[in-house]
Amino acid sequence: MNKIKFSFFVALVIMTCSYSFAQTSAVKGVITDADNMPLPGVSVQIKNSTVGTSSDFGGQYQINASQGDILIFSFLGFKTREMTVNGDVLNVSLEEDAKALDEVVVTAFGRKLTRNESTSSVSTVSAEELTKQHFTDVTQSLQGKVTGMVVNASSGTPGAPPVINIRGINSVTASNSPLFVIDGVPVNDSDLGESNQSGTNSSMNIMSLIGSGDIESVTVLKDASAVAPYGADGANGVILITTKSGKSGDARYSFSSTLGFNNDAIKGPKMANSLQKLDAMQEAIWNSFGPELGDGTINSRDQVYGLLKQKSAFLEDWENRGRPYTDWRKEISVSDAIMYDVNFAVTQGSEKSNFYASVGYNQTDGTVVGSDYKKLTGSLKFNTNLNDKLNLALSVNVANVRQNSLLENSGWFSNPNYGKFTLSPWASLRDENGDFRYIDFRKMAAGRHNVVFTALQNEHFADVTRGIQNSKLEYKITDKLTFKTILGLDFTLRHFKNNNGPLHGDGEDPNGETGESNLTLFNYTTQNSFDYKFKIGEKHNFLATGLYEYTKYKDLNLYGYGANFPNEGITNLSGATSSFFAESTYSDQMKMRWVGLLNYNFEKKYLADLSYSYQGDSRFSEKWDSFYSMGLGWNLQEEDFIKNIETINVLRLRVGFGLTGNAGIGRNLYQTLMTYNIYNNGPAAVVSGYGTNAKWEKSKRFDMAASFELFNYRLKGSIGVYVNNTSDMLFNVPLPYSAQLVSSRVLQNLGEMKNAGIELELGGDLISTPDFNWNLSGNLSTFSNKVTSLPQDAEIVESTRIVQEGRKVYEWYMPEWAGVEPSNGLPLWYVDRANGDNSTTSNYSEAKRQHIGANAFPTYQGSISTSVTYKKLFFETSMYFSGGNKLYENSTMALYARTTNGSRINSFSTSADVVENAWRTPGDIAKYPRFDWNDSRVANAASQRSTKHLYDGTYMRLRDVGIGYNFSDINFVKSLGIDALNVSLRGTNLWTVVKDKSFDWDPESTIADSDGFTTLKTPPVKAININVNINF
Amino acid sequence: MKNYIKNSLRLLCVFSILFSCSMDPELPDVDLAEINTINNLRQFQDGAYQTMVDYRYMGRNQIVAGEVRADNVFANGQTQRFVSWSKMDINPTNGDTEGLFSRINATSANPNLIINANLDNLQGTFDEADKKHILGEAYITRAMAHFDLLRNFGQQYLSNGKGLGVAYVTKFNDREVDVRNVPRATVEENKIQLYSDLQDGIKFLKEGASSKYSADKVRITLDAAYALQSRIAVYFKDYNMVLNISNELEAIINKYPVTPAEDVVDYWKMSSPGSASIFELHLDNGVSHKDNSINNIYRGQSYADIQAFDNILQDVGFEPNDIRASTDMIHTVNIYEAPGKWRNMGKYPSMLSDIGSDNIKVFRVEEVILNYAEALLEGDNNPVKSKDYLNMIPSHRNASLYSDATVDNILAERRKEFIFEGFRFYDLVRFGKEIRDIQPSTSNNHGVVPAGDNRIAMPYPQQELDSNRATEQNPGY
Repeated sequence: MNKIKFSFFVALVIMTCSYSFAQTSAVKGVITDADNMPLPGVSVQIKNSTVGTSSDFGGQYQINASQGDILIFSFLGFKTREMTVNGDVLNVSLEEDAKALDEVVVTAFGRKLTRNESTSSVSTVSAEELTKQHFTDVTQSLQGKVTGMVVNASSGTPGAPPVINIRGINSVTASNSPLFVIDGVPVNDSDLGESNQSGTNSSMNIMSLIGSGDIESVTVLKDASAVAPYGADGANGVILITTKSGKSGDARYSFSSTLGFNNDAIKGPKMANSLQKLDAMQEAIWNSFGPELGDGTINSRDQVYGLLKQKSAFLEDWENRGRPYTDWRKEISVSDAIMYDVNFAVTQGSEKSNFYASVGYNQTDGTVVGSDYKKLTGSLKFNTNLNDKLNLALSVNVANVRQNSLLENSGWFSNPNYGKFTLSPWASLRDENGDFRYIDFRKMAAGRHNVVFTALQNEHFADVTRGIQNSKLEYKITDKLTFKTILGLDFTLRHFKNNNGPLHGDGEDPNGETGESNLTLFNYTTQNSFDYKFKIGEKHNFLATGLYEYTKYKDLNLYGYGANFPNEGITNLSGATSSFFAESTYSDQMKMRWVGLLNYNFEKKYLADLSYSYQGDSRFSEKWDSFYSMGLGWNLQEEDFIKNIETINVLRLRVGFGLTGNAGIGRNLYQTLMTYNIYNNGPAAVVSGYGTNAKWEKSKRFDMAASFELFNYRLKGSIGVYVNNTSDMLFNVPLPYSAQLVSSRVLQNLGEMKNAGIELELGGDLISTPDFNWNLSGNLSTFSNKVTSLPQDAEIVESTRIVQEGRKVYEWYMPEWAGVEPSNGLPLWYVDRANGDNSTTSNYSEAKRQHIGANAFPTYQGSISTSVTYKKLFFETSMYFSGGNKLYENSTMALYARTTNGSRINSFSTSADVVENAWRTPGDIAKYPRFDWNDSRVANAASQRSTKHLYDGTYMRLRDVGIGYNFSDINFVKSLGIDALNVSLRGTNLWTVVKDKSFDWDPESTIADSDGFTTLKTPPVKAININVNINF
Repeated sequence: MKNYIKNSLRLLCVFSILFSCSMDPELPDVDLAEINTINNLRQFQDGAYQTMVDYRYMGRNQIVAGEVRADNVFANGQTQRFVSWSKMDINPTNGDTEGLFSRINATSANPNLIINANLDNLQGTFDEADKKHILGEAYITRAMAHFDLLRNFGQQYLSNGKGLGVAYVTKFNDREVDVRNVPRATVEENKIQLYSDLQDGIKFLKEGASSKYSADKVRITLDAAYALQSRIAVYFKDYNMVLNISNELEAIINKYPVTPAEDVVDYWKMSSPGSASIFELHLDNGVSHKDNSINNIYRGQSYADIQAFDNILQDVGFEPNDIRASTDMIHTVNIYEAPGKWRNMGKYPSMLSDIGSDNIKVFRVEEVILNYAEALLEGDNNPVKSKDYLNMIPSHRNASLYSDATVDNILAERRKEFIFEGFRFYDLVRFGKEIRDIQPSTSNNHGVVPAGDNRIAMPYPQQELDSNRATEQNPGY
């Protein structure tokens, strides 16, 4: 437990005073913990009397007691100690009692409650858990740690954000991202990735600008009663980040350094090599022009090569260059990309003030050529008692990140992750002299770019500076009434630059081009609240809070573009000589809330929480709405009939319901909007929004949970169920094109959707001896989803997915693949198997689309962890798994990786799997159709959407494995003044098993893309790290 | 007590700076769709031109649609763009088709906002003629968009179509209109609607004749309206609609000189409308299309998908001195690639940093001349006068004159004059000609397309079918 929180316990400790009437004298002393740190707020009581006091901030106490009296020292989280008064000084050291701990949890608006006082099951992840893996963004470490929360990396590019979904997909059109709150203040979590003139760049996660070493804990709120106070923004859950605070006592330093190596966790499809490509093309010639399936232009295999040579200019060129082979996947990859992370922190405190300060640096090289990430962070948190009533807490977190990014995700010609699948293995990366080929490269590669060259030539970077400053002033008006005011400032400046060099690639036509933008994000939050803690009688405990919060967001973006640079190497806009373009955009958004919270408990046995809030959001035409929640809890372990059962230490039941909202839509949408473009050098108004009177999407949440700790706290677990009913769904309803709106979507409140699930946690010490401990724990979450109501005309029917009443949201919907016709190698689809028509067809348009019954979101996820400690040696590992979903191979990629069309393979290539498993001779039961030069049925098969490209998304990943040693007790280490020294070796994502063996993409990033389509992004990484932690 | 006061005062200082909390967004970077001033009116109509010149419509796809399905060019598959158009094997989910369909439709949004707005109470002082002129432009724009929609997606020349045209949508975001239930009109109904918009447009443009916009070639003018009427009428072979405006067309032909042979190459290079231009869509630097430009698809470094057939010069029948077959206009050596591919070099010629910045030429006087010649021949039975007009073109191209005016001669001349400009497919279709297979060895070719074939009408995009319950697909898809 964290010592700084102790000061908050002061208020919780019941103090009784009474007059002394025995022959007494003052006894005084200092109460400390095992580390000799003073403990404030410890209750000191004379046994069998009502006389008592508590220790002050320095841990000092004074009490009038008689010699021989027994003093009882008790404090939450510590073993109660009894000592006999003997003399007038009695110093006491208390021992921590982890098991009896009634852990304090952070809840909405930073209110701290103990588990026995809270009606919601709050999941907290500690700093230790968060920093085991060294992701550029700490939220990625949350994967598998919290039930009901799905975290998946969207890209392996350092700085790219994970996709986080708490309790399923709750919205079709509005945001599904949780609200992020740092130290009580909601913060910006926008993606800072930027599109530029030649495509979209890597994403850049604003949350990665929080130094991971500075985070004390992350708390995930998902229950109705936990999130409802954030009502209007709570529908997707809330992630509360608590940063580290100062500790009282002498200066203490901690230093941590990690060196690691990153590689792609899954490399993606292996493409054909140069000879396989040739083989496939020859086969295609034979099938198209041979005597059997073809038109009989040739009649023997000997003639194939000659005919191919006529058809393929690439072939001759390749031969002239000496038949080289380029493995593009290898060429764009950086193996053993280096990660280096170092953090240094110091904390010191006196009776009145304390501080925590840190600096950190992280450098992570990307696994794709041309990408890396550098982060520098600094933080300071200062806490002081201005007087005995006023407390001031100030914090500053500043970070700078430079992300050298990639063109990513889509089929941009200079996207290396696209190039590795589309570039011909016949195209040479380098010329005879070993220099990069670029001048004549397009001729070898069907117009494509030499992605290794462009990745190095072109400049894409985001340079982001973020500063978060919080000021908190707390005024303890009386013992019962506290007023708190917070001002949170969150400023982000992102400078983005993209220069495409003139030699090759996107910059070739414009003779060099540069786009630069400055994005300024500023938001401030002011929060004012009263806490009133009171009792009615002895047993009825109340905590009432009234809170007002106002947040304003301002976004300003300035963009400039220019082309035609005089010289290579000149990349600043001032060097451009033509095609100047500039634009700026500004938007703002306001949120306001009035919140009333009431926590009640009867002897910590029966609990009730109520919340009501009235909240406003400027994004809607009707700006205001109210939200509420109610929670009930029963701490059975406090009941006499349980108290007597020794095996049961804790048994809690919780139930809650509430109404939350989702306002995650764009700004100003309620107006029919025009944007201004240029026509003939003058302003031209173009309709950019249809206008909407849409309101909040509502989510009615219900949950129920039981948690227990058994056998002297050795076995812990919980089981919970939840149901979220989303209604008035914010829905971007597709419009027909004849409605004349370019974007062809209009936002409406329509339909209902239900998400439900079960959350299980179980863990315990299988063996627990002073020297040896073996802990095994696991968790499992299920997710079920159904669109429960949707008018037929609002259904979203896409070429592979459907949103329809009675089905999962974005359920897969496509024709069913029936394999390859053994007699002639043509593709086959079922005509309409769902309706009993088992016939197959090679004519794609005859095949009816079928409901698949699964979408891209997992129906379950879980994690199993185990740790073994023997003396100072530890070993731990955790496994993450998810499944029950289906993933789709994006048609654009399938077109390159799965084609058997000879003329296409001529320009590009196909995968090795296709060459090995395509139809060759009559009777073959083949995975892919025959190779063919011309036949459109064959040519189209690779991209025609069907279940051929749909894969089971179930997978399991060795998330973490670590081994380490704690050198702290070694005399030599101690003699250096070192309190603690830990060394560990860790692996992340080292091993992945995908259930569907034919799915060769990374399942995690495919799920993260939430719609479940494979992406052209950098795959998530596997990493090996060595880490040293020193405290002194 | 003193402390309470002091502490409270301290808090109040903090508190007071935090209470200036508004909930109304400041002026966004976007504005409401309201037409209050003559400037609004101008901006809205210019927005329609901007939508129109988008590469998915006039800026590229419309031009490619008229070429790649005919006998001048094919898609070489370099970037797989327009391959399915070139094969005439188009899916309802084809992106190029969807882009064309959606942009043509979107072009009418602003004209509809203008036409349905109450323009009686515009603020400020302004020239009434300007208002009328812009209103006229709106009607003509709407007609032009719906005509393009019809000629790409309508069934007028299908042998087994039901005679379906397209939905002629005359309101934008009107709460009373159920946009999900808009049936397709018949071709005959479309014709009436087109003529009605032409008539209204011409009326308002006449009323706005004194407007400062009346000679503005990058906006629709009265002359452009007549040019459109001639284009629509010859498409329907409704020659009386051309002959009805004989005087106006003859005036136009006198007013806009045919580009002389020695200026043809330069005419295409000019950054502002040349004297033969009646209407051009302006492409502004900064919003020009770059990679997606018509230039890039014809010969740019990154795409260059649309390539002419190997024997293009012979097949079109250019004479050696014809300026339109000169190396500046059509050539095998594209400076950006290996020789051997025939390229449109002269039309939309800008390259490199200016790529995609050429104006899109919508109406040239040469088209009006040939439309008129056709109407004189077919509708007025006046081959002599027709021949005079027909020969105005070759006489300005270093080519031999025709001895007489025939449909074949007019078609041949249209092919020569408008090659790569997106006319050919529609010319073949409206005369019921079979589309030949010029180069059977080309893998992305459409083969022989007989007259009346289903493939002549592009498929309605899937989203239109999914979201508009009242609409229906063309036959064969």
